[in-house]
Formats: sequence, structure tokens, C-alpha cells
Amino acid sequence: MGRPSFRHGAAAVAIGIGLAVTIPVSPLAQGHRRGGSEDVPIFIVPTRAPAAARPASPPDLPREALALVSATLQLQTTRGASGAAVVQTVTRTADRVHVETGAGRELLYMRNPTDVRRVSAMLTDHTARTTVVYDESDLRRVLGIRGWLDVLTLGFDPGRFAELRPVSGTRRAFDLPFEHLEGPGSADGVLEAWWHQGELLPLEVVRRRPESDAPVVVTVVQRSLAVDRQRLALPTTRFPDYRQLDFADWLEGLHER
Amino acid sequence: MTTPSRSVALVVAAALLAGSPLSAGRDDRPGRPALDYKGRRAKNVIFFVGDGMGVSTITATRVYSVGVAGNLVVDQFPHTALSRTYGADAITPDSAPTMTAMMSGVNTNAGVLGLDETTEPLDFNHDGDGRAPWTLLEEAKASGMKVGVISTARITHATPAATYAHINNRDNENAIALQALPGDPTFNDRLGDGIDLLIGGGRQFFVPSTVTDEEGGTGSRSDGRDLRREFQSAGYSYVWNTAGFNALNRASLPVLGLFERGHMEYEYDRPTDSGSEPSLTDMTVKAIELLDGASRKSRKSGGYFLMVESGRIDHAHHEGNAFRALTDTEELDEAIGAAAHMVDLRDTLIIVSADHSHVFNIAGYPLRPKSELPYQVTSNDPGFEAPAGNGILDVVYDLTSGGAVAAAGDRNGVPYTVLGYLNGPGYRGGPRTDPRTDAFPGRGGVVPNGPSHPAYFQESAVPMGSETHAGEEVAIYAVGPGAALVHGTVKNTHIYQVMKAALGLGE
Repeated sequence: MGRPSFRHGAAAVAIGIGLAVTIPVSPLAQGHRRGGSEDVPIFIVPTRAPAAARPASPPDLPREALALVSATLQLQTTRGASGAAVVQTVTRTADRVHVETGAGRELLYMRNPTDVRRVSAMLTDHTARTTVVYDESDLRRVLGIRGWLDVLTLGFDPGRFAELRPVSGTRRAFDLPFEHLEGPGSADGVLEAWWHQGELLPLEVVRRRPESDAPVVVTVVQRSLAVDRQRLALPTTRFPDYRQLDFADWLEGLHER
Repeated sequence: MTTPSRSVALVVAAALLAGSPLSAGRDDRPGRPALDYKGRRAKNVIFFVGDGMGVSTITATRVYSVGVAGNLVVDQFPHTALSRTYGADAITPDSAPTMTAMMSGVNTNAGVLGLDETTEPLDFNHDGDGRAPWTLLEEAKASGMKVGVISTARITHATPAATYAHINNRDNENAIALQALPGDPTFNDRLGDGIDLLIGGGRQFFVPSTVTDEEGGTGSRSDGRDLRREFQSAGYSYVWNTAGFNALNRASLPVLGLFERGHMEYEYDRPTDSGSEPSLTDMTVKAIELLDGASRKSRKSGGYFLMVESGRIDHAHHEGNAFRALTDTEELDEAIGAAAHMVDLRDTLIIVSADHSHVFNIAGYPLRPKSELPYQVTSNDPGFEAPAGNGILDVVYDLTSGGAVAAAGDRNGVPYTVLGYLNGPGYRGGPRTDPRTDAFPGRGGVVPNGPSHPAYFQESAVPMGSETHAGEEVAIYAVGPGAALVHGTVKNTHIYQVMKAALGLGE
């Protein structure tokens, strides 16, 4: 994603400097009293190439997202055939998702009340007794989360599932039928998925990242309609004595200043 | 030009402040200028700060933005110096003591804002804080000038806060916000009727923790106070998005603009902001229009002082992401250019500097792009046909024997990037691979398609979650009345003295 050559900009600067012999006249400068013949440098603002393609806006939400059934999910992630499984508890509602990440940390994602496509998050680090606030662009940069939809669907982009082809037969789990999709691989490496559009829920996803030969299998192994509302409360309420930092300041604070 | 009444106004203001909490037992009047300056006086001063903008950042931005032989706006400034950044207690500082030094002429300790070197962070020796030197902004305000503060970071963050606050803990931003609020018991009375223009990020410290703000974020104030309303009650115009910002005019002053709950967006990410927010250039242009207009309208006609911080160059470096550091530095250069075109440089001093550097390097012996070479090469790597960012955001291409160009390798023959960090999150941990095909996940878990990708982590030698500041000198650039005082290798406190001497404050 390199930018094109700026040689035309550099040339413009050189030409501009060569021609620059008079005092600049701008609307504000024109209003100033001039001070005789004292020379003042001319500044040439260089011509710069257009910026690289900017990040996209967050994805729109399907109507199912606004009436989602609250549930507690057990999510198992296995790397490779013999890889150790990691199990996480995910509490998912229409406007908040809580993830027990292990290692004394938990994440609370919050749907933006003003623009429901957007999301922010708070990471609670119990060891450091700190809550780290991730705003929308922090999440996009740091975790690759484009918006609230990505959180609801447990990090998978439903749009990528559309790149796979439906395979006959469904799998039932939690009294729900999951559509079977597979293919040569979507742009984000998904090879196979079982998906329920109404619940915006993947039952199982097999993905192979380009950096790894071993596939990663993410499976929802349990689903309960019981929800621990305590987990969905703001960490600032649950842990009022914890220090609260924005992500950028957390990074700076990783060092003793 | 400075007004004859300025020094009188300062004395009067100092006398009126004798009972304020801030001045009690401390500096109840600003000091005299340390520099003997007989030249033309500045009517206005604009001070640009690139947070973390070391010399290597400027060089890399130049190559990226206009090519290695091109000129940024700052390259065209006629007066330059090197600025030593050490703190009173640290070889390598953070932004609090360095901005205190540049704004107050006093070197202090890590984490301390606007208090002298006898002040420990959080007063850990329990011996009380030291004296609170006047800041250039306070002196300017007391002399009848209009004053403004702009930052792409939170407006209560260390760099902007050092212009108007005095506190032993830079992280206590709820308290810092109150020091700018006219009428509050902890208001910094040296600010007179208040800062005329205060715009940037950091809405959370103006909003109660129980309240959702305009963009759906939550506040951080545990005292339940809504400072947006309190600033409005104190006469401020409050804006939070581009529409409100665009509607501002000279009659809008004083202005409080809070465009983001936390820090404002990086320039690269700015178009995706929910409420939309102005660029650093937009804010600079608007501030000059408003402050210049108001200062002319004022009976005192005292000119203005404006501090403009590009606060997120520093954050991008901490993240180990050169791309955003360069694009934010480029935007700062645009803002400087816009300012230089707007003002009359015979009566306005513009100074540009940084608070500290970063462990950010330009490595190897990279060739200039093929089209700039003074000779033909016999063959080259296809990537050398159009190296990313004019070569700065790419791997090192070097000349081999016989006039051929190839990606230069490490001792194992593996190519490496031009830009890198001594430490930070870009540590790979295993055998190095060609950066052009490196599958090391960058920001967001994205696997970049090469080192110019916005998600790319430049490699680092030491594994750290966050890259660090660096302790070498940074540059000072100056133009306008008093700019000739900027030369040699100086302590960063010199910047305060130059601005003060140019304005004739305290004489």
C-alpha cells in the first residue's frame, strides 16, 4: 500500500523557492501593518500525494442484531490437530458482550448507544488493578474489530461466510439448525463454518491463517440462556478502585516514567 | 508589536492574584526575561509541538512526504537549534517535565506539570510541592493577549496541560480540567477570564461517569460535574463535531472544543470518526482566525499566543507503527504551513519543536528511488521500481557489484526494513523473515502485505509491549521576530526564554 512518487511535489517546492521573492499575501497577512523592506521568508507548502486508502466505516447491522437473544456461550479455540484447547466464557446480549479472556483479564464490549454500528471496550486487568478503555479506532487498529457486528459474531465477518458455498445438511445444536458452509477459503482464511443467521451465531468455524499451517477451530460448545448481569456492568462500577486509562496511555504507562 | 502597557498589565495582574490558591507562597509574579533581546518585538507567538517528533521522525516524514531531497515546511525555517530534553530527574523524559520546561523555563521531574524540581510526582516524600512558575501562556494572558491551546491528544494531557495547569500528577486530568474552568475554586487565576480557545480531545474529563456523551462515550468524572455545561455557564461556546466547529466565528470566543472522548483520531483514521472531527490544520487555521480577529478587536490589541500540539505522533511510535507517526507528522507540517501563510511573519514568531524523541531509526544504506539515481543500474529487484514511501517505508535496497540493485540482507541474507525501533511490540521472537512476506500479525491481527501497510509493526530488537522515548536532542525551528535567538545547542527551557523575550513580557 505504498504511496506514489512525490517527485512532482518536490519539484514544485524547488520551483516555488526559486520564484519566491516577495512577501506572502494571505487574507490575514494583508490586514497587518507592513514593516518596510525587511525580508520575510516565503514558505512553500509542498504538494503531497493523496493519502493511502482510509479505513472503512463500520459494517451495518442486520435487523437480527437488534433483537438478539441474550445467552452465555462457552467458546473453545483449538490450534492444530493436537493443539491445546482454550475455553472462554462469552456473555452476549444485544448491546453488551463480556469475554473472560483468562490470565486475570476480562473484556467488556459495549455497543455505541448513539450509532449502533460502533463499539468501544474496557479491558480489566485484575493483576494490575487497571481498566483500559479502547475506543472504536483502538479496537479497529489493535484487535481488527470493525464495529459492533464483529463483536456479536464472535470476531467472524458474516460477509466472508457468503464467500463460501452452502453444503447440504445442517447440524443441530442448542435446539437450533446451523447451515453448513465450506469452500476454498474466504479472504480471511475461513475454510468451513456452521452458521445460524437468525442468531448471528457461528457454531463452528475452521480457519487457516496464512502465517500458519495449522488450522484454528473455534467451536461454541455450550449455550445457556442464563446470563450473569453482573458481568455486563461497567468495570468502573464493579471495580471502582481500579485505575482507568485510555489504551494509548496504557501503552505509555507500561514503562516507568 | 508589543504594547507599552503590557508590563504594567502584568504587574497589576500579579497583584490581583496575590490571594489565589495557586500563587500563595509561590511565584506571585513572573520573572524577568533571561535573554537580552533588542530586536523587533513579536505581537503574536505560535508554538507548535510534535509530541515525540525526534529528528529521525522528521527525516523519515520528509522522505515519505516529499522525497529525500524535498522540503517540508519546517525545512524552510531560517533558524534552527538543538534542544536538550533531559528532565530534572531523568536522562530520558516524559512530556510533563519537557513541556513544563518549554512553557515555564523550569526543568522539573517526570510526571510533574508546572511545578519546579523540588516537587516529586504525587509528592511521594510528603514534603509539599515546590513553586509554580508562570507559564508563557499565563504571562501572555496577564499582559492582555488572547491565548489558545490546541491538541490532537486530550486537552488535559501532559503537553497541553503544561500551558495552563500546575499539578504534581499528570494523570489527574479531572483536576487539570478544573484548573481551566473560570469560577471553579481550583481555577488557575493567572488565566484571568480563562483560556480563550481550548480545543482537542478529552471530553471524558468534562463529562460525569454516569453520562453518555454526544458520540456515545462515557465520562470519567466521579464528582458528577458536567464541565461542558459549566464552561458554557462561564461564557464559553462549546462544540464537539465538525459542524459546530465550522460554525465558530470571532464572536464565539471563548471556545471549548472537545471532539473525542479520549484522544482525537490519528490523521489516517480521522475520516471514520463518528461525529467527524477537524484536522490539525483545520483547528490551527480556525484558531488563528479567531484569536487574531479578537486581539485586533480588543482595545488592548495585545496579540495572541497559540500552542498547537500534534499529540499522536508519540502514540503511533509507542505502538511501533511508523506509518501513523509519519502521517501525523505530515499533517503537523501542513498545519505549520497553513499558519505560516496566514500570519505576517514580521510580527508573529513561529516556533516548532518536540518534547522528546523516540527509539526510531533509519537504518542501512538505502538507495534513493530508481528515478532519482544519477546513474543507470544494470538490474534490480522488482520492488525497487517503486519503493514504498519514496523508499522509506520499504526494505533497504542497495547497490551490489556490477551496478545491480538488490534488497540488502542481514548476516543471514534476509532483507530488513529502512525504519525500525530499538524496542517495542515489533519484536518477532524467531528467525527473521523477509519483511515483504513477513506473516507477523500487525495491528488488528491483520497480516500486512509489506512494510508500508498501515498495520505494519516495524521490527524491534527488544521485546516490549510499548516502544519507548529516547533521550537525544530534538530540533527547534523558528521564524519571525526573535527567531534569531534560536541557535546552537540549548536546554529546552530556552524556548520559553525566546518566546518571552520576543514578546517583551516581564520587562
